[in-house]
Order: sequence, then structure tokens, then C-alpha cells
Amino acid sequence: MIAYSSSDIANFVVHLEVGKAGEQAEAGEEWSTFIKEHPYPFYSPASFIRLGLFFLTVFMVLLVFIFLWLLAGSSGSDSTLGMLLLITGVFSMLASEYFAQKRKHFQSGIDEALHCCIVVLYPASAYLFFNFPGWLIFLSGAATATWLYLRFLSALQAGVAVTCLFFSISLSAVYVMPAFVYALPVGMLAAALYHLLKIHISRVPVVYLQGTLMVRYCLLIAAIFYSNFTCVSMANGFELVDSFISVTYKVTTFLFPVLLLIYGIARKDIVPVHVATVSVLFAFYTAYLFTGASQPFVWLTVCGGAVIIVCVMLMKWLRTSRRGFVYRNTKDDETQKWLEILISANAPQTKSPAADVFGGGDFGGGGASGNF
Amino acid sequence: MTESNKELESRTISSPPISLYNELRLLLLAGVIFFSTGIGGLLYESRGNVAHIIAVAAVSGISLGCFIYGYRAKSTFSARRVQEKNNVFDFVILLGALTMLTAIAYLQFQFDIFGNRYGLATFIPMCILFFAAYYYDHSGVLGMAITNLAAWSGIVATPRTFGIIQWEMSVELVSTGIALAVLLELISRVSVIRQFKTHFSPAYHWTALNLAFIAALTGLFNLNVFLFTALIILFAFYFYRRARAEKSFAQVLLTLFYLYITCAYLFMEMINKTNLSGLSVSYITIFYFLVTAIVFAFLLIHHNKLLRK
Repeated sequence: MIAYSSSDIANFVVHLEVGKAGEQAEAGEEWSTFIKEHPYPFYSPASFIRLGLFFLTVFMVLLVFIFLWLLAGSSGSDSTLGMLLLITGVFSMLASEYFAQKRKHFQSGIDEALHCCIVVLYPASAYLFFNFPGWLIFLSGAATATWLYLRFLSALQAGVAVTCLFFSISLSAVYVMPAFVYALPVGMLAAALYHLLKIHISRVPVVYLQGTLMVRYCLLIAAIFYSNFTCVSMANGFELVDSFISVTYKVTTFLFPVLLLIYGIARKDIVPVHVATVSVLFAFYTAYLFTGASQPFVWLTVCGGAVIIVCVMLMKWLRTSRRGFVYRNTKDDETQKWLEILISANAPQTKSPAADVFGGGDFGGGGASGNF
Repeated sequence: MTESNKELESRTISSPPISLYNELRLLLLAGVIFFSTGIGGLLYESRGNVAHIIAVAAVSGISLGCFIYGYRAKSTFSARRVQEKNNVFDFVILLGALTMLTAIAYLQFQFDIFGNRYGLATFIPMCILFFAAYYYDHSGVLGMAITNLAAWSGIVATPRTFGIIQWEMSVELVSTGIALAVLLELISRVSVIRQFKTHFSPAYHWTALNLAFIAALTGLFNLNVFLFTALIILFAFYFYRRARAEKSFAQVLLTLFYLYITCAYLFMEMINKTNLSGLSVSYITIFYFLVTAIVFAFLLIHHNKLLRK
């Protein structure tokens, strides 16, 4: 199922648990001992090179497409372009398999760029070559992204899959297609996750940690867009004034951030807190549009002032830990924590002596086994 | 599962309080920017009214108040980085600097306080900003001061989305841009050598890097190919060496990127001068970009490994 070997994933899981200790200069000897025992299996460069490789790869795929197009006699017909997109898509898929399996690229920029190209190229060819309707094009994008996510463990693909799915539901399906059509990518995701959970019950949640985090962010941000009256009305190009839906949207626009914030604080979960903060900004913007656009600078000044006051108050209030949250630069604390984890991970494995137990038989009998 | 692994897992799972340090600081920064933008807009909207005198006095008062607060709250001046204990200190100074710029711009716009001496209208805020940056040890204000310095010398630097600054450079300003880049790089080096506010050195260095290459590329595209190619190679050599010394991959990436643009431009110029047919030019160009993109990717990977050692 997954493109990477189980031993690679096992080492990857250990690295995920240890976190960013490799970046800590203080780790020293402990880190070198650790890395000998658990070599990092993948090529996953830092963010700058990842970004550079991403754009370069997209650029190269584009050049391959142009090259094929020139070979095809610069034809402008839909079927030729669709076929070329399909060929480029297949090429991208083969390249991504090569980079994942042979070169062990994982979130290196190259694999992600190729995946993004695949997600775009297949639906584009579905539109031009196979002449699929709109909902099926979005759906094919969602299905492709979901498949790539499950195969390559990519958090980016999880985001793409959810986004595709959301847009396919909100933009066309609401009016055109019944909801059961979307069972395909959701079913694929569920079946594959179940399959993976059965095989690597302890590994999968950790491996998919980044992916699930991305999915949560995407889902919550999608919920903001969906609950935000202004965004929805602008996206659909009409105003839902004086209707039941309008009131519902208005209520959810302002209620959603508050509920999310309460939920995040109650569950001590940072993701809803982040999303609630973003949705507060959306709600401010919506409120500004509701009141009319005549005084934008008054709104900006008032909102800015309110944000400053709230932040300063929160900074003071959170000097000591409150409800599981605190205002403190934890960079030094984290370094110390990871150092402790590293030291404990590298500590000699002392086998604790077995406690004295009576008996010894596994299945009853003389000696009164403690097991059965 | 071994004992140490169990311990490791339990340590990972046991959750300390979640820090909202970065989130609150980011929000506060957004608040400061919203507030100063809004107040600037309000001031501009109220121009000519009776209220605008009150508005400009209020903005000046806010700015002055922020700087006075900073004066009272700041720690003793030091040539090294000063870690302020006050959480909001940096933001108060930033608000003071932003509102100060708004007030001076409005005073010049409405009352012509500097008359036709437009240079003075950028020079005075620049001096205040440089002084404030060093006095209060504030990198953000230093960035504003450097942007003002560029504006004073005639180069327009427009802040864009996500903090990206777009430099607008005309042909006449190529030599000014290069001179300014050299000056900024010198300041960066001197601050390191003299151990005076060494943490400000990257701000000067990064501006110098971008400014030098953009000025040289403008010269390459519009003036003299040989001279500016030589200059770009010289800049690339210098900045590459410094990036290697500092083990900064971002600097290597930018230097290589500017070199790539230069090579692509020279190649296109060369191709345009040949008598090849249109289709051949297309094929050669595509092959060139394909090959160079692969080479560029390998260079990035190679340098990433090199800098990690």
C-alpha cells in the first residue's frame, strides 16, 4: 500500500517521536549515537530547498508538456491537448514512483510537485479528452489526491484531497448531484485507513500525524468558508438577503469562532484555537461588509485597537498557566525536553529481572500457573 | 516495547501547557499594523476639515507616547542584543515608528513643512528611525529605516503581501543601487568586525544582496551586457562565499537564482542573434531550460548537503 518499506517507516516514526532534536547543536554525542541506530530513511530537505525543488519540478513538468506539444505539431484541438496532459500525468506518476521508491524522497519538494501535477493533469485530461462533466472532474481530482495521500504519506496531498472534495461539494454538487457520489473518495480513504490500521496498528497514527493535522486544518478552514455568509455569497455570486439561509449564515459566521475557541480551550487543542483566530478575522471582515463599506478606516482602527487590547490582556493573563495554555517562549524548554528524550532513547537497555512467579505451565495443570 | 521506549512514549504523551507565544505575538503585530493603517487612512480622509488638526495632533501624540514609554521601559543600552523583559515593548516601539511616519507624511502632504525639499521629508524620518532602531534595539524599525534610506536615494521599495518587498529600479538608479548595496554590505561587515549590534548585520546584508543583484540585472537588461555580467559574477562570487561561511542555504539559493536569471538572459540573447528557424529555437530553448532546471535542482541538493556538514 505505502510506497516506502516498513523498516523505513519504523525509523521515520522514531524520528517523528524525537522531533527536531537533530537541529539542536546541544544534542552532540547523544544525537550521533541515535542517528547510527536509527538512520533517517528519507530525503526530506529544509523548507527553502523544498520550495526551490517544488517550483523547479513544476517548471520541468511544464517544459515536458510543451516539448510533447511541439512534437505533436503544436495542435490546439481539445483531444490532442487532453491526450498530452494524460501522457504528462502518466510521466509524472512514474517519476513520483521512481523518486519515492528509488531515491526515497519524502516531502522533498520534488515528490509533492509531481503529486500536485498529477492532481491537476488527470482532471484536466478528463475534461479535455474524456469530456467529463464538472462534478466528475472535481471528483477525479479528489480521488487522485486521496490515493496519492495514502500511497506517499504526504500531508500536502491530504490538504489537496480535502480541498478538492470540499470544492466539488460546495460549488457544483449542491445544485447538481446527490451526496452519495462523494462516497467514492471518502470510501477509498476509509478503506485504505482501515487496511493500514490493521497492518500497522501502532505505526499509522504517528506516520499520518502531519497528514491528519493538515486534514483537520483544511476541514476547519473549509467550515469557516462554508459558515461565512460573505464568502459563500461572493463565491456563488448572489446575495442571500432576507431569507432563512441568510440568517443561518449570519449566526454561524459569528457563532462558529466562539464555539471553536471554547472547544479548543476545553479540549486543550491548538488546532481549533488557530482556526478560531482566523475565523474571528473573517467575522470582522463580514461584519464590516454587513455595516456597509463607507467607513473602512474606522473599522480598521477599531479592529486593530481591539486586537491590541485583547492581546495585551491575554499576555498578562497567561503569564501563569491557565486552562492548559501559557504565554511563554518555550524554545528553550523544548530543547531541554528533546535532549532528555534523546538521552533516554540512547540509554543502555537494561533488561529488568523477571519477578518471581509461581508455577510455569501455560495451560493450567500442576503448579497453578499465574497465566491461566 | 522496551522500558526506555515506554518512558519515551510517556514523556512524549505527557503534555505541558501549550504556549501561545508565537500566536499572540503574531496577532499583536497584526493589530499594530491594522491600527496604524486605519489611523493613517482616517487622517488622510479628514484632510482639510477642522478635525484634521486634532487628528494629526492625536497621531503625533500616540507616536510620542510610544517612544516615551519605550524610553522609560527600556533596559540599559548595550552594543549586543538587548533582551527586553517587557512583552509588548517591541510592539509599542513599532507602533510609535509607524505613527511617526504617518504624521510626518501628513504634515508634508497638507502643510508642506519641508517645502520642495522632498529629500528632507525622507531624510529626517530616516534619521529618527535609525536612531530609534539602535537606541531601542529594534530590528523591525531598522528594516523601516533601511527602506527609508533606499527611498531617500531614489529607489522605491514597495511592501507587498506577506512582507515581500518589491524593489522598483529605473536605469538611472543602477549606479545608485549598486553604491547603496556596497554601503549596506560595508555596514554589515563593520558591525560584525566591531562587534557592535551584530544581530543587525543580516538586515543590512540581505538588503545589500537583493539590491546589488537587482541593480546589476537592470543594468544587464538595459545598459551594458559585458560590464554587468562581470559585475554579477563578482557579486555572486562574494555573496556565495559569505553564504558558505555563514552556512546559510537561503543566501546560496538566492545567489544561484540570480545567476540562473543571468544565464537564461544571456542564452536567450545569444539564441536571438542566430539565424535558426522558429521551431529549432523553440526546441533548443526547451532543452536548455530542461537541462538547466535539472542542473539547478542538483546544485540545490548538493549545496544543501554541503552546508549541513
